[in-house]
Amino acid sequence: MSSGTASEQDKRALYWLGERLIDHRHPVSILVLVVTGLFAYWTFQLNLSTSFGDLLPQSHPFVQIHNKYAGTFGGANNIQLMVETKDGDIFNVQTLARIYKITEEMDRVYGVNHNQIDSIGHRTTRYLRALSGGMLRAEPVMTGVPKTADDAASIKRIVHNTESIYGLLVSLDDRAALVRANFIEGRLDHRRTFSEINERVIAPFQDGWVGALIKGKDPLKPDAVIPAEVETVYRGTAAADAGLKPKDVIVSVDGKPVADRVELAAAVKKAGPGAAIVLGVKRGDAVENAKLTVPQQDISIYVAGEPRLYGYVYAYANDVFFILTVTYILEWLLRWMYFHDWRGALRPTLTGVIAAFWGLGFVHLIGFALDPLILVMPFLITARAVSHAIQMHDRYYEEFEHHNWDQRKAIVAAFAELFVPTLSGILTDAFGVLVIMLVPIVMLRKLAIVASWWILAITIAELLLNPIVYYYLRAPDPDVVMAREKGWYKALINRFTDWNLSGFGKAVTMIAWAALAITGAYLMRGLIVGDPTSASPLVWENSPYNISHAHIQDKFGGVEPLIVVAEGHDRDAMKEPAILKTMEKFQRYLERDPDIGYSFSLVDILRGVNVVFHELEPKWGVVPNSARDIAQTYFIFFNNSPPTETAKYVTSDYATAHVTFFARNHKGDNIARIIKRCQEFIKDNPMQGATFRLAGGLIGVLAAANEELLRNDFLMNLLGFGTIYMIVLFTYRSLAAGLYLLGPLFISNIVINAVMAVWGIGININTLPLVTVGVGFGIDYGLYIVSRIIEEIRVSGDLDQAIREALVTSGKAVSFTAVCMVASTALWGFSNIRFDAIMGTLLAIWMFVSFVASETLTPVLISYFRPTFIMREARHARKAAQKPAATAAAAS
Amino acid sequence: MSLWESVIIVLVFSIFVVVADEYIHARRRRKHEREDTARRAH
Repeated sequence: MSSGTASEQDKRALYWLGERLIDHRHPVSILVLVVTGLFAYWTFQLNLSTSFGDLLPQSHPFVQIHNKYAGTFGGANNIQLMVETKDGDIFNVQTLARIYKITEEMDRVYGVNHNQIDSIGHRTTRYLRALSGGMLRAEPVMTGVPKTADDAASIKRIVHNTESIYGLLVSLDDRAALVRANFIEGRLDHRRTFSEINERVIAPFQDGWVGALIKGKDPLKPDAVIPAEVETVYRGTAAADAGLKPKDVIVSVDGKPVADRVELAAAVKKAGPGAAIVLGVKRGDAVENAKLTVPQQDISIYVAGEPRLYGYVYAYANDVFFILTVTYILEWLLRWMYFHDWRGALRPTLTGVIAAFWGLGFVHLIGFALDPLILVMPFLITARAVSHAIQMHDRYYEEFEHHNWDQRKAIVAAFAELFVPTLSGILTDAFGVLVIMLVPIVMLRKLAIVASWWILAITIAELLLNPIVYYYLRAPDPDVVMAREKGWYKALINRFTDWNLSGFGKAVTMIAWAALAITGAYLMRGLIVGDPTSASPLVWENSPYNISHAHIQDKFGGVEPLIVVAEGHDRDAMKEPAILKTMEKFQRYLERDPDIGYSFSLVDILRGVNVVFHELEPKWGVVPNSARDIAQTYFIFFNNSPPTETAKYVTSDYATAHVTFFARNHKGDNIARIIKRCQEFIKDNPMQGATFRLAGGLIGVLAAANEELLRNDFLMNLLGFGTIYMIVLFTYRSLAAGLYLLGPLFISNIVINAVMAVWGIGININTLPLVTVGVGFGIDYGLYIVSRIIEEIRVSGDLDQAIREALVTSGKAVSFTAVCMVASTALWGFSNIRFDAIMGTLLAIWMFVSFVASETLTPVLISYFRPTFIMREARHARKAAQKPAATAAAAS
Repeated sequence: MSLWESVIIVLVFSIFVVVADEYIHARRRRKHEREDTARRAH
């Protein structure tokens, strides 16, 4: 039997190579195992992490502006924490004290930018206070924990009279307060931020709250353990009822020691509302017991923002091990049932594991890290490796029977006959993935390099080590090999193939695929770039994150910042009335957009100060008319603040400031519209002495990413298909071969895009690589089938017979590999990370559609159009048939 | 579930499948041998 695509000479070389690999099995296997061991060692050094900068198109002008000003005006990594009361407003001593302490704790979370925290409890949130003698002074809203009802009432008055606070940091119904904190991008540690916010910022004040302020960590001694000492006990609370007093130290809960406030809060939270607990209270030297009933929560704390979102993603990332385990067991059972032999279950696992070590070790070796959002990708590559191994194993059994149970001959024949389609499949996958590098986003480029290497590493196990592994394994029992050819699965494949290749079956196949392509093309018009919903698509709609996000959006109108920088051409540009009035006009203009909640700029401070300066007359809520008056107004507000505090409003030379718009959501089409409106305004309102620069904040960088994706999506698809076409061209030495293989793949692409549009999944930096990988992986099924058709036509010379034979042999193995791949990727549907679940499901659909297309449409197209690159191989059969006839004639 | 729990489960499962498969095939071989012996005795 000859190779489907290789010439006789190539074929001989492959048989020779197979023989030599077995002859030199010891040095080859030792070398591969040593290198694999090294990669395995590096694999276990690997960490999950996300570098925010890697997710951005760094060459995009928006991102460059974002990078330039994120440290001063605020970046995209904001956390919004909302404290909402269940009854009444926030202006009572107990609630305000907790807001103050929550802000204090937030300021201590790792990676927070201490100068970019907005909260009525933070020192940088100031109001203008009129003093006797006509003095005005900007003071923090809260300088400490309020102690009396008068303190609380005073804070309420301040809030209601300060335009930059009321509605922005305290809701208009007085029932919620917002703590907004910006995190330094280079110091983001999502796991740590997530746990610190849960344990230190939320638990002690929400479900671990007993009605008393407990001493927290000393910021000057962050490593010192500070015991849970009671600072203040509020009247009418569970703590007061339990008899707790200031200076008491709580040392245990229900007999279990608690070292500090965090452990105390965790123990109270665990007991739950209504539970009766016994606190061990140290008073002086004696330890007494105090019975306390855990109170119902009187406030709810909601937290949103990118660092929080990624925190949830990391918290759910361990799902991968559960899915891995279930997939492994399922795949082993499926393979065992198919091959009736443990070798059939084990051999593909070896390929998958070796390739995984090579791939993951390489990730560590080149200094990359794994993002939890792309964990589906390694899974898919491993599934692909396993698929190639299943093909090889099936062929080995087939050749074992064909070569009269001679193990060595069967190993070499399987290796030589499948070498070309396997290598072509691996190369199309690897180079197909490499086109992702076109998108100028570091994460995608890293991913392209890693995925491409990983896929290429499949060759080590599948082509280099494979004959040796078979040689080491005991040959299967002939019964086992023959059992594959019996049973319902084989019968089903035979029956379906007969139907598909009948006249009626061919017509139905063509019509069905045409209908599917037209329907898909119609539905895929709804596909959008960016996120299609206001909720984060990374986690499920009913996840705690999306619930929090929706609550905060409802209360405050919009929390996702778009920062437009007003860059002055010279110092003091921000003292020019014309510039400031244009900034104000910009705010009013964009606030008319339904998806902009509110805006903030230096102008709001100016107007507020001007009103206070003019005895609270609202008519003075305007930008002063002269640069001198403006400078004076700035002086009034900023003279008590250090430059690090004022930097969040304006640079220290007063050259550059910003207008920040808070968007209600980050839907892809809304972002595009908002940016377009900004550009229109900037074009129509040129400023003398300053220029508006787009754009920082989450909305700004998402706009940049969406623009890059839109610009490159078509090009990537084109090059993806182009690369595959070129490899197919060289494999089959035919211009037409690519059309027969890419046609079905193109329809699969349409179908998957339609599914994404219908399910509301947008193209973003997370979905794009998986979609591109799908294009490459879908081709493999067709390669195996077409190669087998060529192989068979060289023997029989009859096209229809060759197609039938290919479908019931290689097609059967293809159908089984497709079942395995679909099953393993579909299991991701159970992930708590919605993105992984959707991507797993989508890839499962993709694999299924391209498999069905390869099994039905490709053979029918070949049967109808009888392509030359296949038909020319029939000559081999004719020549082979003529030779014995001529020999016989000569003999007679 | 942690990485190591996952590794242990899949290893134990794999060993179980290999042992069970060998046992099944060994029984089948013995049965065939008995049948062959019986046939030859006839």
